[in-house]
Amino acid sequence: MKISYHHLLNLLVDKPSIEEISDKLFQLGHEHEIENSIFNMEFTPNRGDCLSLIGLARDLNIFYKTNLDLAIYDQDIPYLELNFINKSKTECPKISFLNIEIEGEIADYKGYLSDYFKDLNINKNNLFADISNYIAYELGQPTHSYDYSHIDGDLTLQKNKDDCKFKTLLGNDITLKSSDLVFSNQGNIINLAGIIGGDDTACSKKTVNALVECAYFVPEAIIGKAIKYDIHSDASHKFERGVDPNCHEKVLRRFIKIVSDHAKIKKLELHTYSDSDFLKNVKLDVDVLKINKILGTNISEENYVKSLTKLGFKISKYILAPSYRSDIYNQNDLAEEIARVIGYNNIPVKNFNLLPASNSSQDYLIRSFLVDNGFSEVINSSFCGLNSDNSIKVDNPLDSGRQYIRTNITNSLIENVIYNEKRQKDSIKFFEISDIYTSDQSISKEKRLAIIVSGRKDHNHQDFSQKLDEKYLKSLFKEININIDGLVKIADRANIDSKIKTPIYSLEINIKGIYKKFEGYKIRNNTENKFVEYQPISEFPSSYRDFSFSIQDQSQINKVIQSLELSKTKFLKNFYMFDFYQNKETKLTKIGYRFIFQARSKTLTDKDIDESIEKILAPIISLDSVKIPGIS
Amino acid sequence: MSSDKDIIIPEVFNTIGSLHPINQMRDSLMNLLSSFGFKIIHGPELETEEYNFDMLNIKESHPARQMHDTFYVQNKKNVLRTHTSPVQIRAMLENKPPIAFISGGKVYRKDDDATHLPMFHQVEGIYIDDLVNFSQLKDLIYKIIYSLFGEDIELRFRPSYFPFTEPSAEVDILSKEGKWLEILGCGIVNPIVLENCNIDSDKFSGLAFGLGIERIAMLKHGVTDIREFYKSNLDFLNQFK
Repeated sequence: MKISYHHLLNLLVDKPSIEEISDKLFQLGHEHEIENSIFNMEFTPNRGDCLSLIGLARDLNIFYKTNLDLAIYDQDIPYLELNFINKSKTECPKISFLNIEIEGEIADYKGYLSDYFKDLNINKNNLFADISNYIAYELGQPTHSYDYSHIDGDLTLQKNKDDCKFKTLLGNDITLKSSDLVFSNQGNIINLAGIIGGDDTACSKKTVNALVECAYFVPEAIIGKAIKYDIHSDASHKFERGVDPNCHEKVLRRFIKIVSDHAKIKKLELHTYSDSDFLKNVKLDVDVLKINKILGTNISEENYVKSLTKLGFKISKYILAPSYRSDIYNQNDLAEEIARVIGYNNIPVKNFNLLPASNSSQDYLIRSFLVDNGFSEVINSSFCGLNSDNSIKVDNPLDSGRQYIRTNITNSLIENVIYNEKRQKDSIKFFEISDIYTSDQSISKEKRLAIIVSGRKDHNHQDFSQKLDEKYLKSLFKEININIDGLVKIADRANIDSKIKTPIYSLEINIKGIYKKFEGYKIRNNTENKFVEYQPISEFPSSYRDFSFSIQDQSQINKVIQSLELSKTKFLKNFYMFDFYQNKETKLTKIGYRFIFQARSKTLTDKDIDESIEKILAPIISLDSVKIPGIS
Repeated sequence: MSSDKDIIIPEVFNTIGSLHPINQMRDSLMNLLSSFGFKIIHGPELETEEYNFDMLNIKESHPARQMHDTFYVQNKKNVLRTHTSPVQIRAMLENKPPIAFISGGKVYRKDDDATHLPMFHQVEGIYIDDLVNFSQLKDLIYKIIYSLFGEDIELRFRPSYFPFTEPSAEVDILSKEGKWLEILGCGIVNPIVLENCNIDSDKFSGLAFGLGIERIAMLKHGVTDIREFYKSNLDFLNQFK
């Protein structure tokens, strides 16, 4: 909600600076940003009472002297004979109607009203709608002005019985659903209650007789309706968060005063319906000890009473919360009020001290074993688009591709493999541990481990030519005495959109059955979080170059390897020895190295790569008895 | 490098894998909080509305319960938990104070953009005893933040609103760029929640806190797009060895 600093200042006698107010608003828990002297406020959903100039000033009263007495119409108002039928008293326990008729010319807007539209960059409409909008900004209570000349006969508030068309005062056609709360006149819906009025009865510049509706709707009756119809309504925002049920008279008298500032009033009539039982003020004990116990503070009773009084609470034998504070229920709510007054950052810190608890994660050994063996852990979405016999369907999915809860992990891992294959990865080992939910008669939960492999066994001279396959998986699990015969599956490449045909092997098992096998496993690599600074991933293709080095003099082998292992050029992403061969008789050694290049911001050209290669090979070429076929 | 008289055999370098950075962060947080006295508990991702909302004082009218915020399954019979708090409800129902529990895992909300995902991870803790107060909560939060970001970090407490805690606070840390960044939510357990779990709120009080693991991991690792964590890109994952 946007609130002008200058408008707020009119209510603050002390005239604090915008920066000072900003600090105090943060202390009170009212997040905001400031742009051109406008506070763009983001109130927590329990503080509907703050959604107005007066509301914010009431909270700031704890720090500043305020003047919250606005000019109102103070004469008696005759009773309005209105045939209003309230069939939804539960949803709307209190409602008032003001019949106001004007005559003569409408004057130019006075400074306060004109500034509202100018400072907040809001378009003017007509006198009655403009005052409604201003009142909502100033006092927080939405009102709706009907053109009374367009209403004839009964006015009924009830839940809509059938789906029907409705044209809003903004000109949008929507189909109202049954059970929506609506006002109707002679069977025609004229207002989607608490959200937006209809086009047929909307005020215009020609309107001289308005019926102003001022209602208290319980939040539950309004919540979700505006979003359902994609309507951005200030009224619904306020009603959803709770308005002050006791404000009607003040609001309507203020409405009359503003009308009288701009036009001659010919007629005034007021009708209020109220279910007197619906509102009981919350009554709490005066208990500063309890507050200090909750906060860990040592507030005096004097300060406690003073603070709550400044926030509008009435304190005598009991504490009575003001009617606009629908968020106050118990002593903890009062403790929060006191904490906001003190400032959360000023509450003392007292030692929190418990004995350490044991932390034994059974998964950790399994995950570490797989990491030791070159597997990368992944986490995939629990949603999928494929239905199985025992899938659980999401009632309100984001899209059809995420309308079921997955019934296996393997399908996700296959997608992970394809994703990496497309990024030229030729040795892929993934695992994931996740709960899997299925439904037959009832919901079943099973914690599973799934692993997947595809491509080269590893990037070293021993494993480069070997493939990841069922045999590999069996030998891996044999290391920990787990027999996986019959459990390994090969993904069906026919259903996969990829030109790569390397087989994909997977395994998915209930993890509980294998915990014991990992007891005593000695972790080889420290996997604790090292908090590395992440480097953005390049989406440009990588290129590789393979080189074979023929070395006749054995004494040069170490030099060659050491030189290559120190390789560092601009676009070099990775390198590894993929071949090592020694002829025992001729003593000729052949070493194969693969260099992989990739840039962050472009696709590399042959020239870019050749320049890098030149730098990598320069120290090798100068070595005696080392030949690089095709180069030296 | 090893060698004998006739032949040189270069060392075989086996690729080491990596734990997922989100799980690494979860493990770090769990280890940290265990050392502070919290015992790890687990709970289901599919929850009843009663445990996910009602018991936590999240009323029927709360916006979080709307279809546009929460995933419902099986014709609104259950929800995908929107936080790990229902695990604490279960723990409070099954154990008598004093209790100190943490739970961590996947949670679900109907969001999908560069900073929000429909599935993300939380760690939440609760401590119930007699005389638990906001001053102690502050000490615990300082300990957590200092352990994560070092003792030079500047932090602030801001009033906030959660139906299950009262008073409620959000905690911000000051970034190197001088911007306040929201890091966790916490508060004193609302007595309504204690009573819902058959705990005498006149006798016992509690503190609770919750952290979004992705949020912490993004800050710690400098990841700016939350979606990077879930692409399973080996170039990304290999950075967290």
